[in-house]
Amino acid sequence: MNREWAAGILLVLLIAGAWWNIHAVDSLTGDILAGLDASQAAEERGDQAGAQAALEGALNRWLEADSYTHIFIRHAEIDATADAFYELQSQLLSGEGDSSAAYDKLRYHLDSIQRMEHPSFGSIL
Amino acid sequence: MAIIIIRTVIVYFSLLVTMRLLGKRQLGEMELSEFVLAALIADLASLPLQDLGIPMINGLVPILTLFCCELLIAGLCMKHVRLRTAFYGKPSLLIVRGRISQKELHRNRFTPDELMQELRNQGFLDISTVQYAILETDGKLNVIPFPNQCPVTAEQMGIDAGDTAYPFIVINNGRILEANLKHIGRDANWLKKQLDSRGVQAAEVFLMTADQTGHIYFAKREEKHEP
Repeated sequence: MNREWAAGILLVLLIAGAWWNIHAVDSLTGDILAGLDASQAAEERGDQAGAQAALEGALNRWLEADSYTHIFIRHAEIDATADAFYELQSQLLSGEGDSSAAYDKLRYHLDSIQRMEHPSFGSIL
Repeated sequence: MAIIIIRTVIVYFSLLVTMRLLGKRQLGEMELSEFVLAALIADLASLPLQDLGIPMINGLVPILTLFCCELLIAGLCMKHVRLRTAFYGKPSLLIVRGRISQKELHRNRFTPDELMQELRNQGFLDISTVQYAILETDGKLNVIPFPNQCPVTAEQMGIDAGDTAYPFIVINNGRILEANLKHIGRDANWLKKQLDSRGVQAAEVFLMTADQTGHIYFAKREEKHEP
């Protein structure tokens, strides 16, 4: 019966790991989304420097989690999110046009990463 | 990760149920859960190898989940007969006292041709000589002939067949296997005597087997031929 116990314990550990991963991805995307909100609010106030600084903070948070993202997130998603970050950054630096679409694009990618880890009827099927 | 675990469990049980409904003849000498495991693991393991964009963990987590499911199901089935029947089914009697059970044949999706082929594979040409043909849970057909069709045994003939024992390999390609020597109750001195009596060293022996009754098979290593 030892092997069955070991299998049961391993299954529980896997489920615990999955639960931890949901919290880790929530924390990561939550921090970045908060940074994005701050950046967009500053941009709407006309504070370009503040918007860029807040976005820089969000980007750093994303880059710091590099080891985590490469282990747990599909590399296509990581690349798409990084692209969206740099697109928004270059738009803010150039100061041309409406950047709300670039904010939305980055938010969409982050939401998608978050949704992917949350078990729901849609995500499972 | 949670989604991978849930999806793996769903796919595992879906395959288990599907294969269970398809019948034993699909299995080919594997138990149902082993078959499902074999079908899934090969593909899962190759996923992160084929596509470097998929994290390794996406391949490892489902394999570990399947491993846990398989061990838990196998363990539970050992303890609970009903569960075992639910997962693996029961052996089916396809022939009973020389008569084909058409209902069982149909239930297991076995055609008469396939039954005849299986019987021929086992050396039976005439169904009326078969007392029982049992389709086991691993998809293997076991055939038991009527007693008057069984080969005569030495006991029935009143012949003393002598004692036989399992031969262990004691020298494999020049290497002495100490553990096997112990199994047959011998030691290095006995082996040295045997080699001396044949005028060889252990390194010159290709294969030597011995059993507990003292029967020895000996093959000297062939000389290497220069090209």
